[in-house]
Amino acid sequence: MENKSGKDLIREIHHIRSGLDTNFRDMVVEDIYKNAEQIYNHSVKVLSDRKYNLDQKLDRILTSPVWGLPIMLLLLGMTFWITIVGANYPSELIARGLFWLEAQMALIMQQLGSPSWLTGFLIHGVYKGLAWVVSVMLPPMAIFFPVFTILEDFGYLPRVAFNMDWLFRKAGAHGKQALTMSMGFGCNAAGVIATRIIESPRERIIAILTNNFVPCNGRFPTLIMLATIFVAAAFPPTLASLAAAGSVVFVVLIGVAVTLIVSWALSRTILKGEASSFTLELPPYRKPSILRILYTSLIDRTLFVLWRAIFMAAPAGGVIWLLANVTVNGQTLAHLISGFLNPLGHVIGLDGTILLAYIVAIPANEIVVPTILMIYSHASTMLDITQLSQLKALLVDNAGWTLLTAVNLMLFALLHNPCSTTILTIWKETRSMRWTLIGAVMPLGLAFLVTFFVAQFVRLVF
Amino acid sequence: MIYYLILLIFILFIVWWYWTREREHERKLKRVYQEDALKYIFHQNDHGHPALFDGMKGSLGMNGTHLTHIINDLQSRGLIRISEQGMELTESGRKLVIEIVRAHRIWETFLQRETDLPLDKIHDHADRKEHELRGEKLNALDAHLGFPKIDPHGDPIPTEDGHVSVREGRVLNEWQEGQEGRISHIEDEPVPLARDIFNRGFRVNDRVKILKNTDQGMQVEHNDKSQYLDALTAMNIQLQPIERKEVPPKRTLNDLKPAEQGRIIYISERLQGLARRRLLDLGFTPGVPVKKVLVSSFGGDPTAYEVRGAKIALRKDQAKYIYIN
Repeated sequence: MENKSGKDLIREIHHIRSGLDTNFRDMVVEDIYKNAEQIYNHSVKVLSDRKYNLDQKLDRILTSPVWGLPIMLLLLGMTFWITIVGANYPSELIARGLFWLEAQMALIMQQLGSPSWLTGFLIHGVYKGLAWVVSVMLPPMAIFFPVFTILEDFGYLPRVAFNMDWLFRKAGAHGKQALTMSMGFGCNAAGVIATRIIESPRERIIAILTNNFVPCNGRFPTLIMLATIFVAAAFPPTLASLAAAGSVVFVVLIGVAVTLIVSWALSRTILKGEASSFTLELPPYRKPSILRILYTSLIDRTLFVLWRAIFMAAPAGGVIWLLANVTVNGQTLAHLISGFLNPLGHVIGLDGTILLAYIVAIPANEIVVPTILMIYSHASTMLDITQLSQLKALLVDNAGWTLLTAVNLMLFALLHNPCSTTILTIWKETRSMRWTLIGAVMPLGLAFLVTFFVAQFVRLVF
Repeated sequence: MIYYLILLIFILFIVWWYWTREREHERKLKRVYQEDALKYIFHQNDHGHPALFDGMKGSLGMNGTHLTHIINDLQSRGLIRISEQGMELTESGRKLVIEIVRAHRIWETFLQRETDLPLDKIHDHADRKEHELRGEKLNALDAHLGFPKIDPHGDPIPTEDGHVSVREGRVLNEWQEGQEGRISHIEDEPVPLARDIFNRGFRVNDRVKILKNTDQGMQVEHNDKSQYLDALTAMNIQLQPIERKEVPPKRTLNDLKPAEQGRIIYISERLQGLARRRLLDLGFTPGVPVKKVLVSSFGGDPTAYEVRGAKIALRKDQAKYIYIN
């Protein structure tokens, strides 16, 4: 390919380059903008300022010192409330349908002459795990993401980032992390993907690594259940539901505090040298477009996350069935392993069964509680107990749970390692073994540390 | 029992991991020693005399046998020539050293622009990286940075074909009271002095005015601040005359009042890399009008500016680099 004229050209390029100003890139950008400006002046006419003035007014209200925070809390609180309340009924419906299907399929398999272990593994194991995750996960996500996307489409979310930046700046993070955290309430994997809006590498990694500290839809039911049984029970009935809600909010606040503290620590230690910049675009307010909302929230987010979760949950269902049904010396694997884990569990104020449930539930946190209940009640498949008194009897009288167990389980649920979908997403987003490993191990270490100290403290003092 | 077994396996794993790392490290170290020796000879030759064995021993901190090995290796690779006067680089040796220097200075420039490492740390980082960065990768990095001509210390970066331009400037101590110049070079060693200079805010290309010059030290004006430099520190800074007699702008975006409009003059040279690119991409280019439209109610930071019809929020610590009139 090399010929004389090519060499001459390269020499000339070198020659010109050595005479260029150091920031000739600036000039290139400047020139592009000048061109765009010319085209704009030539072809765009602004007829009225009305829309602009309205935007200014809205901005002033939404970021005002008086109304800014209340409006934010109201809108985000409403989003969560709609999600939790609205998801209840469809969840139950889907669960009923899918579990009815489970019984039918088991029946058909039986009639076809399949051995009971095969039916058990495939239907009561793999299929049930899958059905469980779908029924618990799908409705909240299908509600949360569209509602959240309305706020996004309207243009409100960047204003939240603008309002909250002072807090995140102090923690060495980016204001947009407020948004990725909110997204994390829906699903941490989606929250990790959402960090793409943060253009600065250091702040983006911080947002990725700490997203796990906001409890996602899959962990909320655990928190609500514990709050209802253990915390609310300590209050008179009139205050019970308020106390339960209050304690869940309190746990979420702990999560936010941990996020800020860990962000602060990360930005001053392992992320110290990474590049950092802050720019935040405040787009004009727009009327949300329903079609786009449905598309981005259902196809891009809900189905995307659900598909990955199903992919992970199916094998977990199989493993859980094996744990409950394979026996060695008359004891199920589940009991053997939880017996083995018991000492470790005791040190952090939990027990072996809970730890085992958390190990098998790495693919999907939704199945933690059903697995715990399965092992405690010696059942052969995961189960759900809806009667609170029954649930309480099993956990307190049978398994010996105390308030300490409940508190530490809440803390553990909040802080422990992200689910495998999220870990996989961290890998896909960072393409770095290091960040993936830190993203998985750091929360787990923190969870053990915090629950350990709480357990030791409580045992020492009370 | 089984706990101990797990612990044992874990310890064995750590030991194995550490061992393989050490061996890898050793291999790299040999190359580092050789190249450091070459660099020493280069600098001696540059000052006009051959390198001597004893001087080299002291400067590199090696024992005699080890150094003999290294010198023999270098000679057999045809990188150095040994005569009765001492050691000199051959043509290929010189080429290699210039590439190492190029790698060092390009890496320093990269670290300064694209990361947040403190400036006094980048010299050490580059001392390690210069032995790894070569060929295509180095050229790609050079291109990515826009073919920088000087590194953060003001040293010229050799071009791909080995051309090294000459640095201009005289040490600060030689300048007269009342004179004004632009920093052309900040010596990277000794490190504590370089750290002190960087921490006090001095950067290459900054303007400095000499207020007082005595044998013990000097008083200079830098960024509207009067600073005292002792004679030794001042010797590590070089100045060159200012070519253009422009008056430096004083006002930045942070000085705008709410709803006030200003016109951007330029973005400070201090802001480089990602942050600079972002601002340019968003339209903060010289000559464009910028209006302060929204101030955060929580501490006044960030602030939103209207630029080219878009509303962009910036933090104060970036806005202070954008000069306006």
